[in-house]
Amino acid sequence: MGLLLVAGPGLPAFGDPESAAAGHVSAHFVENAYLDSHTPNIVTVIIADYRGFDTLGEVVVVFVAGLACLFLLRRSNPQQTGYLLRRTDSIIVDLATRVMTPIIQVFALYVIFHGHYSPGGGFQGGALFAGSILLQRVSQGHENSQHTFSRHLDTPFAIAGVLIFAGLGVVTLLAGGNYLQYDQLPLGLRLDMLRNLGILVAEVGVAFAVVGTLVSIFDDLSCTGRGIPRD
Amino acid sequence: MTEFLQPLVIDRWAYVFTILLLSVGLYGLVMKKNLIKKLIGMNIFQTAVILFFIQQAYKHGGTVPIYDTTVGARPELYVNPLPHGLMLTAIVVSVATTGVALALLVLIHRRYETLNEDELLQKLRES
Amino acid sequence: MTWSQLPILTPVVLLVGATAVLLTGRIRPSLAHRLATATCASCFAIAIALAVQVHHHGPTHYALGGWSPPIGIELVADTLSVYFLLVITGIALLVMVGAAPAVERDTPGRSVEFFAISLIFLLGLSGIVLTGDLFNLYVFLEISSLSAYTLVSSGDERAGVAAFRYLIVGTIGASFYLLGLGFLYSVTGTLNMTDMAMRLDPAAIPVRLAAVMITVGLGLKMAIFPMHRWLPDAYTHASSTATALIAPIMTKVSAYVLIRILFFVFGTSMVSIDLPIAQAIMWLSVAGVLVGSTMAIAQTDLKRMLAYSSVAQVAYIGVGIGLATPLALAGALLHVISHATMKCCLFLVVGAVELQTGNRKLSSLSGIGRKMPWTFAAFTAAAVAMIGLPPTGGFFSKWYLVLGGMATGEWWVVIFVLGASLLTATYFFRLLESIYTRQSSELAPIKEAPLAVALPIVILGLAVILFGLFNSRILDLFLRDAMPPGLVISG
Repeated sequence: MGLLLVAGPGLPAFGDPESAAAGHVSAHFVENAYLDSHTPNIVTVIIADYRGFDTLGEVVVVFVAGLACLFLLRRSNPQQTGYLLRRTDSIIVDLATRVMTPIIQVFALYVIFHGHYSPGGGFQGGALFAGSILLQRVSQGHENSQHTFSRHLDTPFAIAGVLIFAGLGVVTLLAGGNYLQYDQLPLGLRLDMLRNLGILVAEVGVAFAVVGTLVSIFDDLSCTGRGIPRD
Repeated sequence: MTEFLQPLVIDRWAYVFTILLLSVGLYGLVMKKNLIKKLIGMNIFQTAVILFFIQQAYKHGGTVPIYDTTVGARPELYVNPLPHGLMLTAIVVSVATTGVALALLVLIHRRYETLNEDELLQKLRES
Repeated sequence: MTWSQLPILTPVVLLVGATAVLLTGRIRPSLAHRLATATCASCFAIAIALAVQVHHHGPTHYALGGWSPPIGIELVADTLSVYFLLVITGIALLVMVGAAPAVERDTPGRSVEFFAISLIFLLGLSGIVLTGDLFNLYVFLEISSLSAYTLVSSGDERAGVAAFRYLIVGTIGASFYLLGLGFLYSVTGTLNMTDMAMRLDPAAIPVRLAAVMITVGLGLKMAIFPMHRWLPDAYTHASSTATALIAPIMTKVSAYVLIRILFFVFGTSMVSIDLPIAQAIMWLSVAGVLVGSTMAIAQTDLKRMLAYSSVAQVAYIGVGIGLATPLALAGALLHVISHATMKCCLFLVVGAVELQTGNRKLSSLSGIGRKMPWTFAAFTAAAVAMIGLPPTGGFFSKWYLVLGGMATGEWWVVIFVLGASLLTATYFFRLLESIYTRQSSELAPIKEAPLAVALPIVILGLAVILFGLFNSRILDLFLRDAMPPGLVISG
């Protein structure tokens, strides 16, 4: 730790707008993001367009984590799977979650789609949406909440998300550009609107993958398979 | 002494917190015996690294990096957006790793009934 | 699509392959393995095509999203990357071909997911060697690491604990890497490798500290002594297929990252003259060679013995990196391909033995050499290569290391490297003797392994010898061009 303290003074001063990190690549992002893609939220443009490949990698990380939990924990024998969560006894919790869930979901969708204009995007919105599903699981009990979102949907959602994002790149490849080069999309729109759309599709893909994986991990962690009787 | 301290503590005071967090994380990771506490130590360490990146991004007088037509596109008016984007990725990676680690811990607990490192080592020696 | 799109194809094919495996696995599980093998085969073909292209036209740069660096992320396929990519995809294909019976036995009912995760593991590794962006490298590093942790846990009862320890150590390593990257970014403002090499100031303290942190982080992942403790458990307790997949390539790719960053980004003079990083790596690796080889002698479980042997062999690569001369680096790189083939062959043999006999204690291997002749012929070849006898590849890589050591006057290194060969000889000769000469006490008849399992083993055994015979061709084809700027192999 002493080493780090010694290095401290060598780093740019805190809050310095002239520091090396703030210039160069980053300055280019700030100056051009709106011009390039008609999207005000510069961070979204960075992660979904300029550095979209990183975000695709991140989706793969999420996907692998979900796969890993599935691989490690899920029992293949349905007879062995026990649901740990029962329906709550409290009327307050029951009612509150019934009211809250659609509100959360609408907000989640807003966060995803409005990520162009305000902080947000696929990950954040996806996590929120997953949260609403988990809320259902916890308050209604595992068995009842299967109607809302069956656990057989987990992995397909995740796979769909990965394929949407990766497929977007393949489409751009087929259209003659480089991978994830949105301005090559054969849709006849203005260049910056094409990128706007590309970012949107990427974020939607991310959201699907996040929802699928988070719910899948929750389901894997909470079904113990110890033979706890179904509710 | 002051020439050394001043640039560190005054101009770059935020980084001192990062160093503290790093130390806390490492301490927990190495010293604690419970596997979950080790995991949390690791998580704190990762969070400190993420915090480090975010701290770099701050600019005095800068605002949220969302383009505002009334303000214009000058970089010094906005907080540096690149580290924020990078750290979105890093946070997700950290969460994913923690998730897998927890799944492994569930497996370990199922098999060995304990999550304490010493007990675990003993059980491993016996079997 | 033109040839210029080649670099991106490997990751994409692997990703689509992984999802396809999962989808078909739900409908017809038996197809999953074939699909995985087909994916690996196509990736190997892509790697060869890319290698040919780089050989004729020089390094290929690929700007993702159409954004040129340093604004966007680029993939860079130069000779070094392509060399590693060939090793990765080749090993993957050979392991995948014969993997079905073992995987089904080790992870019943979950083999579909096993194959999917393996493909994502390969995705991560190929991304690491192809990317030209330091943060992108971190993302792919974590992709491959997460998959590796999961694959490791697919073994026996103790695999979970081994995987957890691997996870903790690996994640700390990645975090150190990220922290070092943070320092570098704060003083250069870029993440692209070539751009950063131009912009960084070797004398600045944050840059030097970053070099140390990144080295420590990667050293954890590479199992450089004394950070090697996770490796023996992880390799021993993982299922044999997982080990055969991970052991030959995971640590090597970490070595690739070390080479790429230390020599290409920081520059040779900074890491060997200004800062004693290279020397530190060298001495720690020497210790690793000795410790690994010694511990291997004491083992009674074949897999654990091979795992400790891996610690020693990867340390040889570390010695080459640490010596930081052209010959030594060439030796290290040659050792990458030799050790990958040797270890893969050996671990696949372990898998075959498990398949045919049900266990892997050294004592039960008596006389097995005559019952599984093809398998153990290849095993013998690999063992000979591990010890470092001519004409195998193992000999030549150590030869170059020794030459490099003599050229820089590091005589102790030379002595230790040669001494370790003697140690290696000890445990392998003892093993070979038991395999071929003693009478087996097994009553049940042991047959040769099935074709799909034995064929890759034999191919690898041959490869080990071929790499040795043709080592100068490898040198000319790949290694001369793979050298970092400033290091030139003469003669």
